[in-house]
Amino acid sequence: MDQPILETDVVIIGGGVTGAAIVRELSRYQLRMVLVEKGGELSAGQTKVSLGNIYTGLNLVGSMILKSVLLPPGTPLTELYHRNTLHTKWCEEGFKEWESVLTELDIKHRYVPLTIIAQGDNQIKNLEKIRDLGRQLGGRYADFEQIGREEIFTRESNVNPEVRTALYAARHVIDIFPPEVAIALVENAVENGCRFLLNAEVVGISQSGLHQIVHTRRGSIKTNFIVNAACGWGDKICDMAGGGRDWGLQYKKTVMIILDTRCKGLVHGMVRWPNVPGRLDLVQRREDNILIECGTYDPTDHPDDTYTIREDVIKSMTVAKTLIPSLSEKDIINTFTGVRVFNTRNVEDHIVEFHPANKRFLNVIIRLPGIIGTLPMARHVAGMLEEAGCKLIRKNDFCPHRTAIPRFRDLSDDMRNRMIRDDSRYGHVVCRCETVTEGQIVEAIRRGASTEEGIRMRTRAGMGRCKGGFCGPRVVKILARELNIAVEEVKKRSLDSPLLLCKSKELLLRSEKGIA
Amino acid sequence: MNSAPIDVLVIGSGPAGMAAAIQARKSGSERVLLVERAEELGGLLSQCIHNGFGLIYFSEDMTGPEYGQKFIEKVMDSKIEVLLETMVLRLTADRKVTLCNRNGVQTLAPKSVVLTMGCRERARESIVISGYRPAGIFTAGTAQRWVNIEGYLPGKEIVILGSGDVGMIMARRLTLEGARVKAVVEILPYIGGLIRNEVQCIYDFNIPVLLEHTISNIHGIQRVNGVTVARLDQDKNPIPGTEKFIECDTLLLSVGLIPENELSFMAGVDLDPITGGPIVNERMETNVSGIYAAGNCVHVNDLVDNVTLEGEKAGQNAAEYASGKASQEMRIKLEAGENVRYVVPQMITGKREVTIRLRVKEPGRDVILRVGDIMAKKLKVVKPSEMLNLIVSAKHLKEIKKRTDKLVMSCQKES
Amino acid sequence: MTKHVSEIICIVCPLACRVSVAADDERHILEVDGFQCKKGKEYAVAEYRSPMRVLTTTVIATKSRHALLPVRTNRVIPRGKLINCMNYLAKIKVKPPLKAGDVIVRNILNLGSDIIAVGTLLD
Repeated sequence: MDQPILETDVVIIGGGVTGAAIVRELSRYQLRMVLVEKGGELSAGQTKVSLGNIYTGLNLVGSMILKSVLLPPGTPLTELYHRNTLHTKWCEEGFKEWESVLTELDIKHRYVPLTIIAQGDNQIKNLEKIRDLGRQLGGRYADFEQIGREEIFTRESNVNPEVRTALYAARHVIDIFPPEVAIALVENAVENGCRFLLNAEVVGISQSGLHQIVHTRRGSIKTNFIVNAACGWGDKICDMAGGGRDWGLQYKKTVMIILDTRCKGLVHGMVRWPNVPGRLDLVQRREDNILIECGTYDPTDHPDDTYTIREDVIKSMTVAKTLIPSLSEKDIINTFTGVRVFNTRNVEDHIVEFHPANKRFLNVIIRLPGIIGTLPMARHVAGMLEEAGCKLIRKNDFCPHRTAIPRFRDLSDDMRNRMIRDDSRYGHVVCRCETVTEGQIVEAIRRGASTEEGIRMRTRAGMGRCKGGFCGPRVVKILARELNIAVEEVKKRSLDSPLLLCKSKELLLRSEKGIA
Repeated sequence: MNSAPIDVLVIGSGPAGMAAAIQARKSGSERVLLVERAEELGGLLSQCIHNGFGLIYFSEDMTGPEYGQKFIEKVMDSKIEVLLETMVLRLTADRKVTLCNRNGVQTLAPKSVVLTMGCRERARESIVISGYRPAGIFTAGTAQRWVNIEGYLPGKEIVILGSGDVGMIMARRLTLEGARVKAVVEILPYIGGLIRNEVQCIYDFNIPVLLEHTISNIHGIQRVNGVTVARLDQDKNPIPGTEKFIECDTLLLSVGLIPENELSFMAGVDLDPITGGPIVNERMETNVSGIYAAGNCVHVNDLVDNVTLEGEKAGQNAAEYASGKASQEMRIKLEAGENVRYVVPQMITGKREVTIRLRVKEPGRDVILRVGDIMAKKLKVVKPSEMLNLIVSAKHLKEIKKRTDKLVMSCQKES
Repeated sequence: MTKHVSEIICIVCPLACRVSVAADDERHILEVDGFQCKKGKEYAVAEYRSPMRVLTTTVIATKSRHALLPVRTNRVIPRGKLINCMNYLAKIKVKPPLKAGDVIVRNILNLGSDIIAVGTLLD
């Protein structure tokens, strides 16, 4: 057997938001820990392609109706709400907690108003369903108002002119960028002494006396406990630890579209049609862009089926234009496909339990919405580990604060000048569309980014309308320089996604030799 | 730096920007500042190592770097102030220009501004082709930078979507470097670029061209491993059953250039929805007083020589504005009529000789190009890919009726 | 004797005339057809006899901030020799300082054309 590269108390498998929240929570304690991620960057799987708002109240009610596609037809409204599921508990608790933790972790966020609009009679019926369920549930769920046409157009002036009524909640949706949440959580854990390994796909788990060995592509790790936060790949990881699983996973895919910042004035917050089972139709501001998700959740067999189908994009745009008629295909700057994961045992809830055959292997399979409930979830996981014998001794020097990479674009000129005086690389703007400087890119690399996509997610360089037309080659060269690797070794994403295949003249010299 | 106010500030040092700066100095501006975001002057000329530049301006067949060098030397000789690796962050309607470089952020107030930011390429993300998001998809221009400047090949087996000039030039370039270009795929029934490139880049190397085809799928999760091409019907929809898989490791896109106008937009410059660039008058002046524009940020040209000429005009007029000369009334609007996609400039005085540039929508043979009812010119052939230059003399312009405030440009079949 | 007809696309102007050049077994031109101007006819004949091209490419630079130096032939060379020149130039390495016009390879492959720099090469 190969020599372990690390010895830990806990290995967390999966660098999405779930694994990130767990590693951050556990970093409060004196534990040796490592987070392993199969991708070339954190947040490489479902988190990256999630819609990923942090929301509550009215939007949560909407989601309850949406998910009713997974229930038998004719299920009564109140049946959609299960106060006692982990899922509901954590969503309710989690939203409140995020309101302060977003600031603690310096995650860029903004409350955006939610407007659920209705035009036809059927839509009004569906809207009333959401309204009634919200009012029945009370509390934050009922904290919205129903508004008429005039009021709608003063708040969201570009919506479909035919709308008749709307439900409006000012502070039920927090717009965030999902990868930043995962990255921020891990960065804070790193500050508190944890490690993470990228490109470390788990290929096997074995037992060795009192310990377990997690075999990864980057070497083996000897550990006491394992947390399986591999989301869509969680079933395969679970099986590596032994048989006896009574749940499976099912995957649903949905296409999302990003529009140019030039359209940002068209929507102030999230605008959606009332949910009908299985359909989500919304247009929202995502920072300065517009994000569209209009469509059904289509079943797929693979957690990595992020294959985007052109026809779905076209259909989605058509529906989006029924919400905001002035949207245009011309403004599309990105399209991608999200994969949502549900377990087959209880689609309503998460799976957070020890492996039936291995009491030191904890499955944490979270259903959507994944981000809202992560903080209470992580505390719950810590508690379970403690019960199972993992000693949790609080660190005295745990620091809950993380500082983001400076967002040059959002700073005043005075602040910018101060930064440039300290480090002139902050004066070198590499990405024009998103105003990202060399200083930010270098800092992202220092924090662990090692791929083009990593730089994109951590700094936004290349995320704008020109998609790296100017900054692309420059970012790759900075990566090569800072990581001290050859330019052709820089990857887009994972180890098998090289950007450049050879040096100039190499093919000519090779063919010459071939002939000779 | 000198404390006297800047007369003319030029944003972007490609062929349009260099010409504007040089001409502004020639026209008497004391302080001309040329701002460039890249490491060197010249914009994209340094990566365009092929020939075909300067045929009009210098009556000589030059490569991009040679053409650029002529102007770089003139910039150096004419005491133009240059800021490299400097990004313009903001431009306001009252011509406050905020610059950022390693020395800091500063806001200048030049007397006039010339916009010469050039254009960018349409990327994969905005053209919506079914597929994953693998590495190995490049815009032709980015690939050109990798091959000609940085010294790397994006791949070994290549398919190119779009038969614009950059796409064809890269087809030849990569073939010469030993890569295999397996197909150039074009949605239209004809090649999109210049005939010279069609012959010397495509036919010379027997590169297969698939007209009226598109790429319907990109294969590969982490790196491109092939594309599916399909024939298109008259409505440009793929015809089922015509799909064909082509194995390749790289896809190059040459699917259109978009004028770069974030700054123009910020300053409230009116943009033409068809060209995507500022609406300009015959002095290359925009609707915002003291802001001029030239080159590919106004409309995408196919010959650099025209870009230079436009830049000179903008530079001269920006210098005149800086010296206090009042702008003239632009009374006549030029409009695109039948089979004309766009016209630049969009406004003229109607008093002086003017060069009009335009593009047709559809190719045609034996056509008549009309400028309102004042001028008609027979042309043997017109193509969307070849920009038309038309000089309308003062004599012709005298024909304009007093009350007329617009001239419609049309290009009709000779009857 | 057979008549061989080659079609040559004229690049003199956007008309892009398809000029057909008919020749005998010895490649003696018998007739030229389909052109619309004198220049076009001349182009087609020259192109039929021996298509000539300018080669533009790069050579590898060492000890420089630049990875490559762009170069070209200073005269046209036979189209069929482009690849031979590419293979030859793949092995050439240049050092700064160099400027546009400097000769990199004299009389490449005895084709009567020099390879000259078209850009500047700095340290």
